[in-house]
Amino acid sequence: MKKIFILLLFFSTILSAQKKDFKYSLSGIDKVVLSSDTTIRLEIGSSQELIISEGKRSSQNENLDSFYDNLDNHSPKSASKEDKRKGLTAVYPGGKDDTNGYGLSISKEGTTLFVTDLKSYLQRRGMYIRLPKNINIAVDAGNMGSIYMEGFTGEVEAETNVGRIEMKNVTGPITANTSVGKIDIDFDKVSQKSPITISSSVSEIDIAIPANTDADLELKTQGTVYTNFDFETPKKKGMPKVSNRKSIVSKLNNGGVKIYIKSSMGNIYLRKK
Amino acid sequence: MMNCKEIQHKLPEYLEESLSEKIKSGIEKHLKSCTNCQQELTELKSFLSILEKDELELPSANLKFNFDKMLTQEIAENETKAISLKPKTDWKTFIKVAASILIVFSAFLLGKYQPNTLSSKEKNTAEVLTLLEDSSASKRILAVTNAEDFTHKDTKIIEALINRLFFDKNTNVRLAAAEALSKFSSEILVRDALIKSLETDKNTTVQIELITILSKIQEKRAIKPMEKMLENEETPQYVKQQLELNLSTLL
Repeated sequence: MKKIFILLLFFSTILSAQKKDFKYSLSGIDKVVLSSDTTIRLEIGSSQELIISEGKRSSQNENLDSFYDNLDNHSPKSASKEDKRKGLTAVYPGGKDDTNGYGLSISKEGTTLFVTDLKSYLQRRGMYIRLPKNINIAVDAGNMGSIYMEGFTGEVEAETNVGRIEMKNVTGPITANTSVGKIDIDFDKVSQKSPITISSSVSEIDIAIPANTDADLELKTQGTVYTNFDFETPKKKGMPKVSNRKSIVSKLNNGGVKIYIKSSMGNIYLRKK
Repeated sequence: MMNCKEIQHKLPEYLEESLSEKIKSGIEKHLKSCTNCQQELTELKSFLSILEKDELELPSANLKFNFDKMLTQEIAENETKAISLKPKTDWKTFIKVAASILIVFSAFLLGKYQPNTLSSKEKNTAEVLTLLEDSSASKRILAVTNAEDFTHKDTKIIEALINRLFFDKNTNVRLAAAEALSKFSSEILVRDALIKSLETDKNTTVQIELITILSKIQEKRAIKPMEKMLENEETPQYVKQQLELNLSTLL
């Protein structure tokens, strides 16, 4: 009996010491809209839940955190963080914390769930989120954040400014845009549901699709396109040159869903796999 | 002994002879001595005799005949009404039922027939307009590219595309809208929208696209906002590069 008690005490201290993941049930939700200014890493979870964990915290960030805490701490007697926060809720210019200390607001509109980061990117060191495999995702990493995701079969919308966009084992439909960051997408197969659009201002775009993909391809850039697919080159007889933009239009295999890849200035790499 | 007042009260009953012997003899005894009551009695007698003499006035036989005639007539009329009304109401309800069936049926036919009566053009317009509001960015892009194929100028479609260009949260949808609108550049409405969008859109991919389109359609009014962007310190270097390149073809 005494042993069990000691064991229980032991576990409870471990649990209280560790910051728990935040979980939110996604029943009746078919689309999750995430927006943050930090790097977001998305992976498939085993349950029909949204699971948020903080990214790995570096010692530097820990220092930053305690720096912020010290700013708040005017009394010489330093009470612990937990004591000071007890019974209070964090409030940000963007709204109230709905996630028990993770600093995110969560709101539901019909079948769409909006998850919005309330903290500044200075207070963040990335976010690690797990979602069901087939859910539709729209993610905006703001000015500074990058997006990494793997294994999703639903529709994905991704936007960054300077951050990278990296996707692995996805099927589409994909809609991705970045201004400066690189885009790297590896398709398992290409969904024929609706168009795939990938665009960037200056950076290179690197796409890999299965060799047997049926698609209507359009590639547009002022840079160069590199590929190991065989494009049927249309004869440009009598076609006036309208602008300095070159657009490559070609059918892949039997033709199918539209894949539009556009970089204003960067190179485009289209790989067969 | 009864006084005069009591006697006078009982006089009518005395005349009707409905009083007991005792009271009757008492009254007679009093009457012999009291002239006042005697007078009262004679007056009452004369009044009653007038009433009796007054014959009950009976309605003439003619009146009764007329009344009976009217009554039978009225009864007859009522009866015919009741008989004639019955089939009439049946006929009305039948019409009502028939009409409601007809309405339901025609509504069904209308619904079934309508898509066929709409021209394929109108049908496509409606389809594109709905899809432009879809929650999926990929579907909206599909709608924008479909809208591009409208060779005739359709104000509704153009307005919906401008709406996407201004307000869509997804960069790629705005980009697709700008590209689609460039095909309708003969419209002054479209030109205005493209210039306005260049002034307001914060995304560099969209900015570069708009700069290229505006110089391609030789829109001189775009020079001013483009020069303004060039002077703006916040404009990224690669956007400035595009501005310089395209301004040279516009000037």
